Amino acid sequence: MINPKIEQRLALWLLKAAAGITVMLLGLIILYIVIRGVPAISWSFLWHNPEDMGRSGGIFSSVIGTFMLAGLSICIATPLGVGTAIFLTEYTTESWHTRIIRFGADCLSGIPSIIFGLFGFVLFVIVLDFGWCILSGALTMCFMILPTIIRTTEEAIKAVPFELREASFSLGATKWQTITKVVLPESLAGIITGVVLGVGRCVGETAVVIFTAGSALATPTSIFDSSRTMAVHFYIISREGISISNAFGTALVLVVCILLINICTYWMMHRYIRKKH
Amino acid sequence: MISANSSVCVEIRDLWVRYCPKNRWEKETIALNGLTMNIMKNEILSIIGPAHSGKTTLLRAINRLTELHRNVKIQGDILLNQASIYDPQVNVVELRRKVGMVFARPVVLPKSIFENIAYGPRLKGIHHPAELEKIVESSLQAAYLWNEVKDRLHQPALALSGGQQQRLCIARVIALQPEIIMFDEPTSALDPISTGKIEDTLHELKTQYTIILVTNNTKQAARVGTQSAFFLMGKLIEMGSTEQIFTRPYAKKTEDYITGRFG
Amino acid sequence: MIEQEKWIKFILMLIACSAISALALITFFIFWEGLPVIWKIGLWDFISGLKWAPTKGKFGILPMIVGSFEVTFGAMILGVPLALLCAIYLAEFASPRTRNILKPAIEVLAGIPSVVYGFIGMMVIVPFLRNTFGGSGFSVAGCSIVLGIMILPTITSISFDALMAIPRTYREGSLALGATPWQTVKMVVLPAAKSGIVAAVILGMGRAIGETMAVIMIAGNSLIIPLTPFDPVRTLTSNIALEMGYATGDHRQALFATGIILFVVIMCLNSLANWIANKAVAK
Repeated sequence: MINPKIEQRLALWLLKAAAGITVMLLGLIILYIVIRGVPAISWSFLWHNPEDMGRSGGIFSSVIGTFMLAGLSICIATPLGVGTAIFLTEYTTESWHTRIIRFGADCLSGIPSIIFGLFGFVLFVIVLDFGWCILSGALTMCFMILPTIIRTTEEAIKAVPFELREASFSLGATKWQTITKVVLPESLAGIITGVVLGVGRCVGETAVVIFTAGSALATPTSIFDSSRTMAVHFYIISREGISISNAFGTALVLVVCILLINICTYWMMHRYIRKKH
Repeated sequence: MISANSSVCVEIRDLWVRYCPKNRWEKETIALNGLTMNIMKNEILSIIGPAHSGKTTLLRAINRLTELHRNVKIQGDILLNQASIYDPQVNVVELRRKVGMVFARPVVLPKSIFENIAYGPRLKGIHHPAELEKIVESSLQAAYLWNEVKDRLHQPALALSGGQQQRLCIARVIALQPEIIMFDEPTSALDPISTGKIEDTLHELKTQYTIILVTNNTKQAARVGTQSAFFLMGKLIEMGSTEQIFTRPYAKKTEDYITGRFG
Repeated sequence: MIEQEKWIKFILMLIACSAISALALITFFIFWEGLPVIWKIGLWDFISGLKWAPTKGKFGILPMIVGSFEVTFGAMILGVPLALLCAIYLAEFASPRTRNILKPAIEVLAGIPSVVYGFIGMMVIVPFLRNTFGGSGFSVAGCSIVLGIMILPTITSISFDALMAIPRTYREGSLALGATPWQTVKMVVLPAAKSGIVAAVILGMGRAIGETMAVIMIAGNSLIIPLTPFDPVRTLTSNIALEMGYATGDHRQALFATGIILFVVIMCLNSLANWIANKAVAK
């Protein structure tokens, strides 16, 4: 039997090592991408369309495609997610039907993206005959990010004190007025956090987009055009070995976008938590 | 059925309020136990009684805030100006505008001072800026807050002190021009000086409004109320003029409570 | 006014059905596309068939099932201990300052797109394996390493939440009896948070099985049952993603059928995790 004091020190050392390895892994990944990616980045890389299947040229069209897809999908998912969260928290008590709704959201959040891709391909591309386009991609992605938005919004709404609702009711507000004028403004930071997390998932997703939005190289002009997002573009040029240097450049842009989104979210959450206490 | 006395403002008839159990192993609690009483116009009725005697529940039953909780069951009736408030035809929103309420802890909405007071009138459909400004000013003056905040109406209301916040809540209710204002232990979270200011406000308000004051503080009831009622275990034990209740109560229990022998 | 409120409630109720109807739609369409081919081949022949030759009409996915589980198993061996140690450190020993660095770092790790993981695996881990152990380097081991890193954030953050949910009084009680902080963690906190941690591990497993893009770039994708960790492998997910682009007819339906198997496995894992976590809450 080891001396408890020595055991304590050993354990703490091990725990610290594990935490250290995790941070180091993240650091190495980011460092690697930055060091190899920076040489590929230039003004023209960001502002020109890919040429010769991505062998040369930039990534402008895929940046546009990414933002169109993420934007559209957020526009569809946010009302659905926030509406669901409002219904779950304000209009019902815990019962079998809220349990079913929650079960649906939980399952949805666990389904792998490839399944979403298959589903989006059958329903939107084939059955509804939208073809490979940004609309199909956004509709599929919307189902994917829905659970995140529902959960964060629900947490945010639950954090609004009940007294505020009572005060609003006692001043002659209806339920809907109370929700729109008091509850939602109070929980806005939490809702935005969920939305931004959703944008992050849209930007980084590949499997769904490749199956539903296709991989056209041209700059999309409407939501009925096919487009490859940055992630898809990156996947194609790196896997097929078209241009490793451009792949690193795209990876850097992608990772920087994700980092910015994460920092944004974290900062917002932090401010939100500080405001509450 | 029309009440005999036209100066009766609120008439409570055999009111039962039960909190139903949420699950099998919880017990049903009875908050109000067949309550019958009349509340007169332009009086300050102070309701005293130990914790869990149903005082707050009564206030919530009168403006139907009890409905926010699903597990509350109500039997009996409450008449406001001879009309039942539990009639299906009654518009709850209108009722709550007529019966204002000030809560135990000051609950200001996370908006500016001006917006806090304009909240109710706006919901009522008043949008004209000049009119709103007039309402805000007169309400703040009625709550003796105008001089303290007139230069910073558009700053967040959360920056005010606790006592100021509570008076803001009173002003917010006044802005709706209610008939009755109910105070649920309005000074329990405040220091003595703020308490004094609120009690002064209460005296002023009596001329225009019917006031129901729930309080844990028997001395406050004696200072402020013109009528007093003593509640115990969801029942009205005794009700009469404040002077009578505090000097020669009929019931032994009332005497025990106000002399501090229990509660 | 009352009428309007009723309408609002009704509309919100319809919106609230979106999540569950999305789930129903997904289930329906995956099965609708995939079931015919399973009927044709027979479920047993489909999942126990060794040969996948779409041009000859042979659809057996046993190598991929084995491959998926081998890769996942490897990822669990690498990822779970690291993730749990991290979670324990975060919840029990880290100072608020360290926590403020570590938590966002783990969240960023979760946010990095899977293609980027795959790419780094392809550029760094595959050459490393090739030079050290020989072979092509595209292998079960490579996938496991990358997946191990990818499931780290999932397991860490969920078990962190489970650890934080343990009341402080438990810890104080143990410390007051003279236990060291580590003994307290080992004998009081971990047993109390057991179900939450198990749920976290199962959810991490679900993520590893369902991961596609990273695996595709590292696995080598050969149609054999991998016997050593350095053999190439094809998983259920990469099978779908690789061939979907050009598949038609029975071939496409067989890919959807692969999707059905994947879907069923994931749903079972998630329901299990959910059930365990809910049981812990009820307790």
